[in-house]
Amino acid sequence: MDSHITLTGSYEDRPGGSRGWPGLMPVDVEDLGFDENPWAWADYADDETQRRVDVSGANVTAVLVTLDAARWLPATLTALANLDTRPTRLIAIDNKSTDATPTLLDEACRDGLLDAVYQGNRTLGFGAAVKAALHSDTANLQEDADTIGFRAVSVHDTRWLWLLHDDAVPAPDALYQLLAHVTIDPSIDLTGPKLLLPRQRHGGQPISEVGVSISGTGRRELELDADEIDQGQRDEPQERLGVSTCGMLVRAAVWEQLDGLDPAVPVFRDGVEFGWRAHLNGYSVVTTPSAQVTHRQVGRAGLRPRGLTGGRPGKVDRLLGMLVVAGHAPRRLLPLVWLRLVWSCLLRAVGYLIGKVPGRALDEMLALGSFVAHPGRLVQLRKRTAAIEPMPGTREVVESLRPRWWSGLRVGIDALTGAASERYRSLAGDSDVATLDELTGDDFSSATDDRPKNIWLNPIALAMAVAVVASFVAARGLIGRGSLVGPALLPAHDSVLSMWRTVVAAIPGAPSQVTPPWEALAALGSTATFGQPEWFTTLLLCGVVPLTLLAAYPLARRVINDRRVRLWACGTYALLPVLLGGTNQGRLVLSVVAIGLPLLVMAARALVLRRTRTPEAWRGAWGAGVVLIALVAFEPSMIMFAVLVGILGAVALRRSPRKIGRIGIALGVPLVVLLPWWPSLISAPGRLFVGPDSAVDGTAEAPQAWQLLLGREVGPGLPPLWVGAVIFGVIWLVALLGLARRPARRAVLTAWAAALVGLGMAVALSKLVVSVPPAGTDVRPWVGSYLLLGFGALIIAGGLGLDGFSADMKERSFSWLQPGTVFAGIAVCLVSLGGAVWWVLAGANGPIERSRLDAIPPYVMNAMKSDAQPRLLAIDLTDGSARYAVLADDQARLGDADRGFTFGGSVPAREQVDDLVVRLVAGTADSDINPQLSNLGIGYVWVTGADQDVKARIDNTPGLGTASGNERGIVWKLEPPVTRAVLVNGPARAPVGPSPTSVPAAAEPRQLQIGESADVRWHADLDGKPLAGVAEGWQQVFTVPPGGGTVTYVLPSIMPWLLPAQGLVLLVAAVLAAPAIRRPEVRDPAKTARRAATLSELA
Amino acid sequence: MSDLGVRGLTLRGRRATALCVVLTVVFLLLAAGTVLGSQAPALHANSVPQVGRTTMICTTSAPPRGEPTGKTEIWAVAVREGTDRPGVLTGSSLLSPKPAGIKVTEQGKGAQLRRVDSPVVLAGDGAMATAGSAVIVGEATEGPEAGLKAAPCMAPGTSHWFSGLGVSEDDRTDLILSNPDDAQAEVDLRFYGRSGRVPVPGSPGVVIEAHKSRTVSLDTGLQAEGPISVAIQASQGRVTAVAKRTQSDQLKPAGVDWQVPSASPNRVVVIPGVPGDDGRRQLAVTNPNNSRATVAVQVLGLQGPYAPTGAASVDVPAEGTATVNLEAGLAGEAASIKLNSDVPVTGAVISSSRRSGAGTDLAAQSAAPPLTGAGVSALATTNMADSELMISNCGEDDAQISFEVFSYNGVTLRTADMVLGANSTATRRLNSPDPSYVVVKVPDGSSVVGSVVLTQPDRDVAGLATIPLGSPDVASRAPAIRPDYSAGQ
Repeated sequence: MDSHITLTGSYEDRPGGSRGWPGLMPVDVEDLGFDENPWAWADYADDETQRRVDVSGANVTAVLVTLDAARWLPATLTALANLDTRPTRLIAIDNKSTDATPTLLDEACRDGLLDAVYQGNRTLGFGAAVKAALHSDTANLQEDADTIGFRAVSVHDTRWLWLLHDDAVPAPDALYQLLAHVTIDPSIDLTGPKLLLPRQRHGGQPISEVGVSISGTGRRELELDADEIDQGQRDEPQERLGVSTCGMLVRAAVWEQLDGLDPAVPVFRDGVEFGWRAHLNGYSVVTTPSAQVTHRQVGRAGLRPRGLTGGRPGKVDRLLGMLVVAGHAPRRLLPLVWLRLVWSCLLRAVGYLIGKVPGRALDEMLALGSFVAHPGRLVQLRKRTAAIEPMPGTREVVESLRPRWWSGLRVGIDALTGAASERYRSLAGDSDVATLDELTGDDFSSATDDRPKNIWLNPIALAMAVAVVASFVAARGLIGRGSLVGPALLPAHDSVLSMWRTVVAAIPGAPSQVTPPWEALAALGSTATFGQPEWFTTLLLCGVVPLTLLAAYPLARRVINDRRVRLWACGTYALLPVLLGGTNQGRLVLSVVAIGLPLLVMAARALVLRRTRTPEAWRGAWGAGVVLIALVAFEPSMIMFAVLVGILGAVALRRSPRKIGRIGIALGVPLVVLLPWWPSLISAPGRLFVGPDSAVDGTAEAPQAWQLLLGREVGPGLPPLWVGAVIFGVIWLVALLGLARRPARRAVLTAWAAALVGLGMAVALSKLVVSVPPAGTDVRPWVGSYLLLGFGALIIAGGLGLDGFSADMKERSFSWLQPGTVFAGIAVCLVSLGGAVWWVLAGANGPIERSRLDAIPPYVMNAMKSDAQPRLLAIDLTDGSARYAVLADDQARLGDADRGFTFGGSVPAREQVDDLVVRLVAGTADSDINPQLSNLGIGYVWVTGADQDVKARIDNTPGLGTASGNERGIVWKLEPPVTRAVLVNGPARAPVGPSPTSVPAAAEPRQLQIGESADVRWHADLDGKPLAGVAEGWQQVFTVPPGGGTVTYVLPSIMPWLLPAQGLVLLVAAVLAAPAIRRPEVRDPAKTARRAATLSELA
Repeated sequence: MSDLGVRGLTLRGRRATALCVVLTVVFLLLAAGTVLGSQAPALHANSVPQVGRTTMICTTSAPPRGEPTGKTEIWAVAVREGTDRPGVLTGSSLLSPKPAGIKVTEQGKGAQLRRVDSPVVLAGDGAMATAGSAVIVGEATEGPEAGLKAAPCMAPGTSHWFSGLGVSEDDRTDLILSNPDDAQAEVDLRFYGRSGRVPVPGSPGVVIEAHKSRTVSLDTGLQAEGPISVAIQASQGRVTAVAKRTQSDQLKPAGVDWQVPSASPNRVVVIPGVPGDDGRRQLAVTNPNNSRATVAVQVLGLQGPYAPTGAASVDVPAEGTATVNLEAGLAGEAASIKLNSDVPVTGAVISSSRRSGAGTDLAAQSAAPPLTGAGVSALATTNMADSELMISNCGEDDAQISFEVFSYNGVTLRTADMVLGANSTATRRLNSPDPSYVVVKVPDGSSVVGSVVLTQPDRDVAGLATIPLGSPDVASRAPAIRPDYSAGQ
């Protein structure tokens, strides 16, 4: 291109490109005679701008395709009439419009604007219509040899085809600019103008398209920002994969050679598909931004329902995008490309569902359905593309013009970070909404005081940052490899798959029980933490303070105006989980409750306060339901609390049926999602009062009521008495002051009522000993969750009551009250700060620890995972008592306590292990120990902490092999070796492997002891023939007939069927609870386009 | 949220009302929480361990060929445990499964087997598994094994310790190893001499066939001077071990006894039942460690603890055995000996009777573990000898104990309670009609040991034997147990 020739023309309204401005400013000010006339530069005129390229040699046939365009066609025709460079021939084809379009075209023809008007068909796509028009026009002109018709002569002839939409308004110099560009640069074979959207009433003109590409998922890649206003920033011509057919200028020979637009892509993506083929054939596709066309995009706006775009242009666009990508995919990559397209469709549909844009999700699914159900179009398109023999290097060019494979990811991340940023700004108090004072330029605007100057230096942002750093410091002893273990925490599973397997597996020996739902939620959380259950556990326990702070702040921001009080309330509340020993004891439940309660209160608040009738109004109810699912799953008794509050709320809101309905939703969601669990709770009501893996808790002494009211005696790992007493005492004091200040405020009274109910529940539950399934273990409920609820409510009561107190003080005349208030406030904050300091300095100092779980020698662990599947009896004598566990497979893992560990619901097995441990460590050395251990599938005994006497006693036990071990413990292997499943034939016991396993033939029936708890649900068969179960002892036994074959035994579970249904309901509830996509162009692009078209009409 | 509309109340009134209400509720909460008792976990009624079959072996051996056999009896009882579980205590020969003619089917009763000439296995089933106790006692009036010998029947095990065994012509020891199980056992013997370990060819890998006994004579092929200690460690199976001690003085018999294994080495061990007369009392201390042991010797006398004159401290070389005479320190007093060491040791006392005009006899007292629950001797009184119950409290606190003497029909013959001071010993002469057995009940957590001392004051040989009390209900010595899935992490 000649750089001395600019393409600026006579179109004076071009943004950023007015001819009154020179292209470059003079560099040497001396040369300007600056001293004489400082404004002399204003008179500087560039003669170059006046130079016009001679385009008279170009023969251009313009084809206008119309369909039901009476609303927009007049503007188009007027613009065509105003072209300063007219096409050689301007013809139109109408696809059987039913409005005034034919009349308008006829008038234009009569007026000489159009050279001819042809009749098309409504089923014709844009490309087909152009072809039909050209065909008809050629036929008409056959007789006149002198008439310039449309015939290709050579590749480099000067005949051009200009394609026009009926909703496009070309600038007067649009054609000139296009022709000038291709004249200056003869290598260009295909070009297109800069497409603009209609001008907004008080704004600039948004760019619609300047060339186009397509991603691997079929996404339209415009390389433009949303609503990007044209300021001349895109005015450099660029090589692109394609250009829109609206205003496309294509060399006639190229059109002929490529046989026009592909019929498989009748609209929308036809331009990029054509450009793709052009590239492969070695042609050059370049944009001409100096040419401008205003494009109303009525097809995308859905304003042409009779056209091929139909009523769902989004679906058509998506479908054609996928077709183009799949149509041009290399043969060997086609399956992968196909799968990627399907996957992206599903992903986007889910994304739109989550964003509550069901229409767009439906578009995606319809497009996917059509894409999958009608492969014929793809086959036809691929046939045509397969016929292309790409010029050397053109594939690389095409690839360079297409977005990279991660572009979709980038777009997704951009969207998510944008949404997160928006949320953060909202949370941090930054708002796009200006106050009236600011708009009127009031110097004393009240809004400026409270608005942060830098949202990253917002107090909550700083508090969060400090909390995160403090969490790392506090958890310094827990950082490393291994698993977190504590008095209430079993080590996490090795993999999330193992966790999911546990979730769906039935509990042997407990037909009325299913795996508690908290484990499914933990598995879900572990899946979210990159499939690492240990990361999830660590995050919940070590990151509980910042997470709680994050959850509590939005609530506090809504209900407490004073920033200082708000920060105190949030900070103190966030410290409660550690002050109540949650982290040190490994209480996942406390983390979940601490994070969930503020979210629940916020959702409940929205449930009550939102008045609009839009679907958003129900978000609170769904949100409360979703939060309740987590809370009830981890702390089931919360359902009683929720029902109580729900009933009271329903009574209070009895005049608002809609709100009562919302309460019904909030309570109904957990009831429905947790439906499979309710029978388990009804059959074992003790489980209602305890949290996850409570069977490991035991029955400690009940704490005194006064201790509970000071947050004491809820297990080990608490702060020193004086620290706890001072902090919780101050919380009581602040709450009482808040009540004294605002004794009639409903919110304060409600918070106090919640606090007293929560603390009352804590005192009451601490007195109970409940029987926990599946084995009926006696457990004293841990009441930390209710203490947290109680103290959290007291904090809120205090915060609400004292909110605005400092402002009141400012208004009073100065007395001792003001300094007293300041000192009291500082003291209160220092106390909370003291709690934080204890937390950071003492750290997660146990009993929680990170263990490598390597006490058991590797060879024993390997044996436990072998086909023999022997169990291990581990006995720890270090503290004078004998603590024991029966380990199997991969040791005890998170959730195993709620599944009865290795013996499931079998109480006899458990009692027998008790008995055996007594006899082993006592050294009774009786001859029944070995057979009983073998019967329980225990093949190894591991002892640690034993002195020589105890070692000798255990060693005396007949049938225990030679002891071996290391400094961690001693291992005895039973003789003969034990397998979990055995085939018993009289005195002979033959080991068998796990199911399915082959058994040899025998002379008489035998018994198969599978080494798992007896359960009526067990099913076994021998080569498909069911085996009869036998009631014998603790374990499941089947009678095996004399014949040999393959035995299969299985404990069927209904959870694989129920879990997806639960997940679906949860997903729906979560989607309905999630905030919707707010950006209108994403929510409903057709509506946005329609608004643009309508505005332009009004304008 | 709006304010609650309460008519007729000023702000001050509202404030007072609200504060009164919440404080009242808090007070009620505190009161209710304090007054209401907390639930306790249900106690599991069936908490008695269901111990299976236990066995013990009453070891004996025939005297040298041509010598008088004397008489040997087995006394077996089943103490009353208070459970309703049925059970049976039966005897059979170790060498063959045929019944040995001794059977106890009721708790509280006992049975005797006379004329025993080979090891007998006593098997306790059901309730008898933790209630059975037996003693073997033998008497010879002439020949090289003239004297009184007695020992409790022992449960098989994998580790046994013997201190101060004789390995000379005048002080012979036969180690009798018995294997009651169906599989062969293999044991290694380690010898600890006066100046350290004594290598003995062939001592590792001694095989004892199933249901067989094997005698290992220590006076052949053992190049060591003075008393020697032996550690027996089974590398396969389990055995019972008893040492038959036979002493002579210038070819005249000087006593015989069965020495039972000592308790495993520990920093504190107690040797109960050292009889009270002027005879020789030789303390042997075994130090199996690689470092030298300094052992403080304490006599738990009738008046309390004291250090014996000239034997207050014993230095024992690494992996060696040391002996010291206690008769001067004991001054004829019956007592128990408590050893406090800086490293784990074990020990035994070899006592000799002394009575003018009568031959001497030998009695071995081995270190014993404290009793748990109840200590039993299946022989309390016998027509063979006079009996004396000797009980020592080696703990640092007083212990309230009681003992009962039962006839073999289960009738209580004598009951007595006593408070035993810390580190002291008490004796009670037993004179109930024979046959009888004694049960001593000791408090949980106490450190009480005891024995029955048999003496023959009017025979040609001043027969002397001690029978340490044993706790048949070993299950009760188990510590508190509880499931805890942190075990094994």
